[in-house]
Amino acid sequence: MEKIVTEAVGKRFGPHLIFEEISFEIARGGSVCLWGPNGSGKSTLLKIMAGLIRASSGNVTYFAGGKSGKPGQFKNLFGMSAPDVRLYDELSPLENLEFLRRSRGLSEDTKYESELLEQFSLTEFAKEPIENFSSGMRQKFHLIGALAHRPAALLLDEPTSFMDEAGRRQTAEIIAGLKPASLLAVATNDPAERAWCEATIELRK
Amino acid sequence: MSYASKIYAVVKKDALEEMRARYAVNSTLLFCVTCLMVVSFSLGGSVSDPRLQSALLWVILFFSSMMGLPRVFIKEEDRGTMNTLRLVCEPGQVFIGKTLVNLFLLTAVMAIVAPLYIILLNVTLRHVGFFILTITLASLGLTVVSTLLSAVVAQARARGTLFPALVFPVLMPVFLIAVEATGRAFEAPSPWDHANLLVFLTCYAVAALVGGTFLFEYVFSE
Amino acid sequence: MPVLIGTALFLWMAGVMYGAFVYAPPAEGLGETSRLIFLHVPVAWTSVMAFITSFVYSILVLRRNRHEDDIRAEVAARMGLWYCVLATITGAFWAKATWNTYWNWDPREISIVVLLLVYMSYFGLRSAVTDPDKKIRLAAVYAILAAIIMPFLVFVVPRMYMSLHPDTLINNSGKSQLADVRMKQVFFFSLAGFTLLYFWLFNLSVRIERLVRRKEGWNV
Repeated sequence: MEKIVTEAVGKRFGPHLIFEEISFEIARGGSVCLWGPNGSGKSTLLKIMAGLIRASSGNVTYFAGGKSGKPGQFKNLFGMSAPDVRLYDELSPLENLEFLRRSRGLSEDTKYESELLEQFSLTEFAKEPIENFSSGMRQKFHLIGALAHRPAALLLDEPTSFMDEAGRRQTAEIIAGLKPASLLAVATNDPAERAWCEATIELRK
Repeated sequence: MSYASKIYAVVKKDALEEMRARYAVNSTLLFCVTCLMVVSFSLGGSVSDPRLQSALLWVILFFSSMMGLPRVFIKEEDRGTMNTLRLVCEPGQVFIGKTLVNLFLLTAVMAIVAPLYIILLNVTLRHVGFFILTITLASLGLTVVSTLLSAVVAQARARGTLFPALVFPVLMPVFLIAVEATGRAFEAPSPWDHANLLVFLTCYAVAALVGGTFLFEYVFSE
Repeated sequence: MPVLIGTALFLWMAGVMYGAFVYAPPAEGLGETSRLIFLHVPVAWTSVMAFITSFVYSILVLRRNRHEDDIRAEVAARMGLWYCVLATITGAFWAKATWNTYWNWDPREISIVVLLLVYMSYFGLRSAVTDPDKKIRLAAVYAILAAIIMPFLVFVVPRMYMSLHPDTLINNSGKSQLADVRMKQVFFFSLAGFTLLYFWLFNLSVRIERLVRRKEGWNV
């Protein structure tokens, strides 16, 4: 993916204006942190960038392989991890990953998936329903879900807030490894996560 | 082939969830058996008019399906997994997958309610083939419309009460014709003279499927 | 200019009333109750027109995603609902006069009640969705689905139902009763008047609704 362009995006919930006229661009290798107090609309903006919510005004456009369009047209090129993008509680990590893989129409190659599970020390729980997971383990697994199809762009909403020290280190390492070739947007209040990014968009309340 | 396997992924995922958590099957079956008992207790064998018998059967089936069918999407929206579907799947894949899931559920309901009803209410079923065709075609239309509106209602408040209100007027044509056709299957000398009733149900199902597939995209995507 | 149009419409409708109650003769066999036709049919016609307007603007909402189109879809639906209520009530009176019962579930009554239910569900749905950008899409989807299904109800069900229940056969619309040329004149004069009145009210309501939404802080 070459770039993601966010153009004069605004969102209202009825009479309440959350934000307006937000414009920025992330190019390959670039990274942006969405920074701001609770309720400033970081998560909403990230969801608009992922095509999960419709903006009240403005556009988000993806550019990849000579084509451009809405996020929904590039589903296999980006991954997202956010508190309200959840995976299936009754299913085990392996079953969840299989569902994601088949729904995306990807090949049955599971090598990278096992590597990720190993890196986040979830291999021994790979066959247990994730409803038994702690919130930190669950967050790790959500991140794995966002990474498993090797996306070119990553949209992350407080990806490590519940993780232990080892998990945070692991996440930072993986992101550092991916960064040169991919696009990154992180909505966060955590200075450590902010440090992954070169640019910062500040949202005010 | 790859599109079929994408649809299959949705169906399989729902089946696994259902097997482990029993969101819909148990409560729906329990509800329709209760409904059936209430009707048969209060009426006993005193209903002999085939039209009335058929109307009662459809009232039970309608309310039973109102219990179970909306869960396919309400469950996803409630548990925050709807966003995962939106991120990963194509609209048509989800719509067809969820419609199939609902079709299985409704078939299970029909397979249990219809024979029990015939036994408990002492119904004479003269034309089994016509009867099965009627309920199959009617369920098809019912399922498609319910699945689409389930995705609509899942994004609203007060969905439990809103759902039947939204579905009923749209389903009215199926309901009227299904009652008519089922009554004929029970008692009429030659129901096949009224095969146009079945044609009607088929046309409705096709129209709902085409329209539903087109409209679902707008319900599902941002 | 608006005042002029308003006055002209007022005079036209006054003319309709005069024509309906004084100029036109009562229909043979039905007596004075036949005058209801000059009110009932145009009102029912208007409710169908409003339904179609709402359908067209709902399609535009999905295509262009503009709140401006949603205002028109909603206003048309709201007017359609009231005209539908009026048509149902006048229809019931007519039924009482001709078949001696207010209500007997004849196919036409079924379709008007379903139209009524569709409208009510449409507004039920609107009030149950909080995010306005989502609300306009879901409402549009419902309106379009209802419109796809409507032909089954309006054109197909009556045929099948009537062939099965010849007893409840209704008189073949008002046409046979429009034998007198004066009745014909008044009927079409009324139909035109109600149609113009609909467009006038629609335009006015759209402007009001826009102001209301602005006051509530919507971005329109």
